[in-house]
Amino acid sequence: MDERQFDEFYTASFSRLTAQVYAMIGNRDEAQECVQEAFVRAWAHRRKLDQAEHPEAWVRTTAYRLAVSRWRRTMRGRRPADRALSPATEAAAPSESHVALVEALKQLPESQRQALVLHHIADLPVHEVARETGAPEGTVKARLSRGRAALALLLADGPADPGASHA
Amino acid sequence: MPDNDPFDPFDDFPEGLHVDALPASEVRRRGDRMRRRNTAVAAVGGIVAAAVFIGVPVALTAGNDDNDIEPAPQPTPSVTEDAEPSWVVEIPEDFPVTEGMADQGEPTEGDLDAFPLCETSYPTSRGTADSVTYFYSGDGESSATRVFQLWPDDATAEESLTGLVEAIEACPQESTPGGEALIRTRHVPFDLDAEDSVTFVQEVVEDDGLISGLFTVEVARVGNAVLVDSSYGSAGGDEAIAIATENLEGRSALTRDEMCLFAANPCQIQDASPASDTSAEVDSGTGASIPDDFPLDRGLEGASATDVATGPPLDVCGTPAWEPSGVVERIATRSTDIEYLQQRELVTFITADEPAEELTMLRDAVRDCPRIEGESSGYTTTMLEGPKSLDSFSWGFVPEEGLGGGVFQVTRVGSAILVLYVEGEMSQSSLQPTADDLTQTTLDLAPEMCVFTEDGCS
Repeated sequence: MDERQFDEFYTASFSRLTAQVYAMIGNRDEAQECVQEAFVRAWAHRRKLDQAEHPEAWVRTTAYRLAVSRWRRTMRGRRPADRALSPATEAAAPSESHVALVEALKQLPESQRQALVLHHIADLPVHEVARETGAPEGTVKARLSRGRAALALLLADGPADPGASHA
Repeated sequence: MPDNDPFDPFDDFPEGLHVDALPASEVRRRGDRMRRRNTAVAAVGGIVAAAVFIGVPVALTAGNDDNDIEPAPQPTPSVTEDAEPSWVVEIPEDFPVTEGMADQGEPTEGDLDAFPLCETSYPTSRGTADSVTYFYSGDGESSATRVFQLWPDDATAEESLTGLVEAIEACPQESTPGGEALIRTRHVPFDLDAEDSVTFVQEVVEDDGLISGLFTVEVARVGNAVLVDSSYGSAGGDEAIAIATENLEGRSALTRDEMCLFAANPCQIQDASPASDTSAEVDSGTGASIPDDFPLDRGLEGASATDVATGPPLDVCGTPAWEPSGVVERIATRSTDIEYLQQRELVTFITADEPAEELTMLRDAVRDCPRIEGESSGYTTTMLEGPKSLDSFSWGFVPEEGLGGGVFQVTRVGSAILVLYVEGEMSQSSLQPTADDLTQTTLDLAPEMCVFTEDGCS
């Protein structure tokens, strides 16, 4: 992947990936930070990216893992928060319905949330969700089914529980 | 939405979010910096750089692995985005102008040396705010020159490159001073990691067609700073040009890297690792690429490679049993027979910090989770003994009802993690013997993982 190809890839997919990671982790600023960092790593490892069958999936997976890793570090308090983990300055979400959806997603188990976002927002078929998450297809289908059911209840119930987990 | 599901809260979720993304060139610059740092291509010890932020000189040391360069903080609210940057117009005493320039010996400072371009020459010190020139003569007929300039602002610096391009185009060839040969000048399409760059060559073309006396010149601009890096070799021609441009690019990489200090939004060099931070002990760049011949399936009968190792869909009280973060590369293999499923996975990370974090996280999670809720039956988890000489962690689980169970052994060596997993019909009493078998495998494979350590395999 040369500079021009990378720039086109970056320009075309950055906002889309940020939206997907935002849906997964529930924090827009953090999602943007992590996607940005994932692209930095993508360029640093562009030879691997060339070999990747799905470069966008590579970046998305890296961004999501970065977000989870950062969250774990923060929660465990083993080290001082870095710049990216400074007090939340979360930008407003696109609309109230999106806020409700993201808040509801935050209350689901991580595996269900990830499967729902990849399938319903990133539009990946089940087998690709399975490949990206490293889970069997049957497990992904179960996560989707349970996740959808839980999400329907949460959205029907109204505002999300402020004590919801992050990732 | 892929399914025909009447419940579709995702229907109007935006495909993309409006975000203020960094320019792609800045992303690449940071990626290049990461790559260089991780692969430690060049020894950077001894470099001392000065950091300048918003016109305030701040001297900080650079050049060891504990230092990092981060984007400068955002301007304070009193500074508008349209405010003119405070350009640095004096070359900091410790700026590494000559870094990478010479294999041996020291470059010497001298007067500006310019390349003739018909009616003009390049570079010129006219209009610059500060300029310095260094020379180095190596063995044989090679030599190198480096000119570093600071212009009053980025616009004047940019104009100097524009002028250079125009001068090259206007002067494809001219006679040597004695008139016995031609000096041929041409632009080379070779981009450098900078805001702007120009690469050109000058060669001497004799009457008989012999091409010699190759000057290769790479010019890079960041903000108001311009680096003119050139080399001379006796051989000319396309092959020599290709080699020379690559060599120059590599040699000046660190100096160009530090030129971010002169950007409109300058970087700053900071000490990123407080001494009290235990992560500093393991936060060192190591080789993250997995050798093609890594013997992950050694002794594993009927093993087949898999794209991604799939551990059991089992959470340790909310923490996935094995879903590492920050992965660079992973290979996996598995083997199944009537009784057991065996899986092995090797995962590499950017530094040793992430895998150390993974082990700590997983170890804590298992310790805090003596019982796992299952869909039909719960599982009892047990900490097991593993290889004591390594940073390793073993644990097993068995169902409270029915058959099943598994044993994990997760071992970190440098920036890599080796995961061994066995699943099958187990009882509480068979967990430790199973872990012992895995320990033998780990001890057998661990020496092969020396490539992921800072010291390597020497």
